Amino acid sequence: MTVLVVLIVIAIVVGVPALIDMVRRSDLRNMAVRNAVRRPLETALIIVGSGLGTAIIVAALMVGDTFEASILDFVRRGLGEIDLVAEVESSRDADALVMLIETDGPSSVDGALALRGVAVAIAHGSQDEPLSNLPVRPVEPQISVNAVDFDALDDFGSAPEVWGLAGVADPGLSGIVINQDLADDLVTSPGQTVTLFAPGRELELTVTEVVETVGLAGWSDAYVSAQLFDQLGVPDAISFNSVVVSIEGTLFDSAGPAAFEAVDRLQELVEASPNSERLLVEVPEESTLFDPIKQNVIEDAEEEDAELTTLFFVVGGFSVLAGVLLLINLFVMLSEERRPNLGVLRAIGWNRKTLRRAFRTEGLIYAVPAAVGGTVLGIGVGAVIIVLTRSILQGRNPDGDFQLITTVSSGSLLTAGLAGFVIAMLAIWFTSWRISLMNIVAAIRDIPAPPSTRSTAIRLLAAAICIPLGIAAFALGRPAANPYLTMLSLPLIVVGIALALRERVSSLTLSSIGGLAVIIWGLFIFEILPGDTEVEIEFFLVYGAIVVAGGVALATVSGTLFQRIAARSSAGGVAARLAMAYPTARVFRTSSSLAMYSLIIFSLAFMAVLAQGIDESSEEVITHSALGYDILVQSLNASPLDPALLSESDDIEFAAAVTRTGTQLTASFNPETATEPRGFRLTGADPSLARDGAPDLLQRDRRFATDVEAFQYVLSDNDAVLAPADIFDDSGTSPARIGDTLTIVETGDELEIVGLYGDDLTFPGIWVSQSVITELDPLAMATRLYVAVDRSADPEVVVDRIEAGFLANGAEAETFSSRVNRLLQARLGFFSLLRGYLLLGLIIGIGGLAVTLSRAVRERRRQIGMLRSMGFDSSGVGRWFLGEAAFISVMGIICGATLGVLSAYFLATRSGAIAGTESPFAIPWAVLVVLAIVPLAASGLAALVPAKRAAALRPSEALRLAD
Amino acid sequence: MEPKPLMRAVDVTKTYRSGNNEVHALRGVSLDVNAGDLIAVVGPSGNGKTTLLNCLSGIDSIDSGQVYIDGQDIHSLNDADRTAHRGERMGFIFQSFNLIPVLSARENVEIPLVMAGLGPREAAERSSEILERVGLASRIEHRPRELSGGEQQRVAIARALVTTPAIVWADEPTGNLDSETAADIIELLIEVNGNGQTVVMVTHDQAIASTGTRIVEVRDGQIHRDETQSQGGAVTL
Repeated sequence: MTVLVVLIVIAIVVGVPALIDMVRRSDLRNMAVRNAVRRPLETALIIVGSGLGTAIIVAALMVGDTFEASILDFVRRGLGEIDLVAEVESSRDADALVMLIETDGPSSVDGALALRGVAVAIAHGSQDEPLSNLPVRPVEPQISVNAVDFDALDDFGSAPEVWGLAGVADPGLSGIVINQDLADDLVTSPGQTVTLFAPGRELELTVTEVVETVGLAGWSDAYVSAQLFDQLGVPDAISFNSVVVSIEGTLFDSAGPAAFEAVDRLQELVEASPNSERLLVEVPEESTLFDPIKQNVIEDAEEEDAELTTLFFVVGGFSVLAGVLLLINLFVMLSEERRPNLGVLRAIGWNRKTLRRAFRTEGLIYAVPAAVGGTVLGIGVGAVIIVLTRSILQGRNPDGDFQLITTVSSGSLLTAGLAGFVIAMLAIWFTSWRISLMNIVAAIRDIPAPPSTRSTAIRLLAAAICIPLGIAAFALGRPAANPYLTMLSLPLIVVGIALALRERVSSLTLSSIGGLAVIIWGLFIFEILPGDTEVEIEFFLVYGAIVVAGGVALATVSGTLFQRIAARSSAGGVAARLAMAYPTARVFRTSSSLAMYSLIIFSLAFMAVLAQGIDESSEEVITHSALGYDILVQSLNASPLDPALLSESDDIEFAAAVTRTGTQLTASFNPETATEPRGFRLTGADPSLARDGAPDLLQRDRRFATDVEAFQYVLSDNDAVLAPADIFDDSGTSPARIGDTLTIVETGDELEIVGLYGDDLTFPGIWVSQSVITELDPLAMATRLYVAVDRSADPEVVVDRIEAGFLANGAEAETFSSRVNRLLQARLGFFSLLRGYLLLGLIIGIGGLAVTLSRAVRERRRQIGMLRSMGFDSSGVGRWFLGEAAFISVMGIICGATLGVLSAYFLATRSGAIAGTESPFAIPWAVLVVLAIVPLAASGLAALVPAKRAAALRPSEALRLAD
Repeated sequence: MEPKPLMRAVDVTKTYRSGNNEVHALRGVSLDVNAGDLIAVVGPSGNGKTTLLNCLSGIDSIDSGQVYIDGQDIHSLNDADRTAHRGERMGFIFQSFNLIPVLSARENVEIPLVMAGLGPREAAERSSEILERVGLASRIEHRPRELSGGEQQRVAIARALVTTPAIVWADEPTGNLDSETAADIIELLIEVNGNGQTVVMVTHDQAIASTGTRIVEVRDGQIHRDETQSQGGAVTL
């Protein structure tokens, strides 16, 4: 809302004066309208260029809106009235807790329910029943089924529409209530039979009701009567006994402060109760029995939402910057083209202010349709992004409950539209201010303005501000580990020095030294910043803009060198000379065009390198994640699959079980490195797991000759672990070391890190021996199995056989290669999506080039006429303009791609700023070739029209029109 | 025996059309230009002087008639050949100089040489030589914006002469210059003509016209007067 208010204020400040002039000053209005109408194609291109920037902003905001709406829907479906949840050891404890709450609970509690649940497998129909109209029997290997007191449901919460079980009758001893999602998966409906694979027995039950997947019916896939659950005989050790609590208030108001307050009040209540010791036995110190689950879900989802929205903003930011540069470039060209006329207007009485007003009035004609059109276009772009994101999320987690609901709010549309309008108008204000400073005589004669003492004074003043500002930014920024201030410091000093020395040192020297200094500064910024600097993704927008600015300065200098080389060789003739001479001489214009290209190519190349690293690492990740096995099987805690049973099959060579702790554990580093306790997953197994494979150890203790040896030692030894390399190191600045100690808070055991592993897409957490797990949680079950298939067997066939044969165990099997590929493809999918998003920026850059060249044809008509008179043929004129487009594109591509690859290299090898992406640095040559060819070809196509127009100019016509 | 003309125009007509409006810029113009002529084309504004120059030089098309240069009807050539012919045989000087603003004086002069296929070193040497000849030895590496109007026109003249063309066409070459500078430029053109090169110059200034060896007056798209001046070829501004 604050952003919207600020935008409204700025829009009023920059837009209303122009609007008033448009209405009241017929001279300004007529001039503005006629200028815009006179060149409809260029006017359209300006509007499209600016509109694309707005579209990018709309799309980013739409991603945010969609995630927000999806979070709310996810909460509504998965939790409904459930605000708090407490896990207890037994159903008796759960009932006691409910009674305690109902008797003495705080008034804000709007209902409490005891739930008893277990994860089981379920199948369509009965096992003996023949299938009708279904090719295979639909099964769901792992669902949650809960028992609830159906009579108590009416007292839970105050919004029946999100209860999920409102008005549902007790299904009795032979019935089951299932949610719609499960009914769809099982292809079943009320009255039909399903088979429930409870621990140790199979039950044929009739579906009594199918309820909407919402609230309690989203919390659990199915419900049975308490009596039936009793009959199942599920031991407390493998059942989930919980109490869910509803807080007064609407669906989302009940989260947040009200929930936190209720958690505290309930904690006090439990602590004061006679059963407190039993109820709180599993609750760590400083923690509470009740978990504000709705608030936690909302916070987690909002965090992910914010990260994704920011990501799209940052990536889109490069395109928006390109759009701003395009606008400034176009208006500078417009003003230069009209300079003599504007000089005359100044001479006959227009003051500077009137000149600025004239420009702003014209700007309004471009900015308003661009903002409106861009907003509409943005909705389409956003919708495409969301469809693609949905598909990527689906690929990453096919069984996920989170669904993207395409949404865009009027506030977002207004914000984006206003942002686009404000950006366009500010660009126009800047250029109108620039042109208003013209020297009247110089403008009329179209010659350079003589240097004035005033401009020199302004330049020196700017230098005097920039240099100390840069020094201060470094002095304050680096000690405070502020990446923004530190990054900006040297460029500010460089700009200040360049301004101060401009009249004494050649611009060639200043640009080359300054540009190089800024690039080196950017590449080594992670070395310069203190080790504990936290880098947010927004930083990369600033980083990219600064590094590219340095690159553009250097590229402009290189252009001059290329031009000199071309002048000394006869290659290309006059066309080649002119193609380089014009961009090299028009520094501001060329820099803007180069920056547009470079920014986009930079970010595309940067992402391509990161994606290539992930892609190239996939084989390695598969090998190391698999530990020498072929298939990963997950079975139910209630009926874990015995590896011995699997090993009996002819097509299975060996199966080993691992145990993972059900809840994350708190551990800590020794005080030398980190002291804050954090939660981690532990995975334990017998030494037999490490037959001929091990996690990909980036470092290991010198005692071990091989990774397998280290892995075997860990699985055999109680005091050694293999930990992820980025443990306690989210910012990538304080990596763990071999020999560091992890202290398990619960037991006080100290474990030594003997190996640090890289990417592992089975997410084992910390590898320990089985005995460590057993000591922590004696009831933990070995539910994960690593299966090696016989050489002659097809792993995919074995997967199908395991799932079908061990349905009662809820066996879910997947080959390591398909698992790793699925997860990596999801990561790569996001890169592709972001790259696609960036293409909008590329369109801006290419469109900008087309407009720049179109204007150049008009601007250079006289010279074209002269050259044609002198014998320069029309194809030469065409080659000149195409060559100029190619020259700018090639420079932009080289500059952007080189900086993108270098930045990715330094990021990958010198910092851990992108936590979790431990991928090797690899140059994606094929992608870089495409990155070079596609924009170059597109630029060529974009330049074709102006080049043809230039070539078609008849010399006499060109000279006559020009004169 | 009369000398064979360098250029012969026969019954040339040119009409400009804009919507329903027609302007008959040239109405059956016939004219011979002999080698070594310094022709001043004069006449009121809008009567066809520049059109005549454009049509005779081949930078504009004609509706009917023929223009022979070296015996070749240039308007029967296609655009590419006509362009090549201009590059080989003609030089141009315009009122607004029309220099390439992003190139130095030397680089501007090099253009026709590079088009003619000369190597960069030779082109640079010859450009420098001719710029010295027109009095710009110290301004060779300056860009047009750093030169005065007279200096720019000298660069344009150097560019027109550097390939030693058979005919130099000059359209109001002093139109943008003060009288003193204009006199210098005309003196330069006379010097060029004195070296045997043919110059056809459009001007509205009678004083400048009087420096020509022939005066051709154009009125209403026709040659109204074509007379040889015995006192031509000298600056009397």
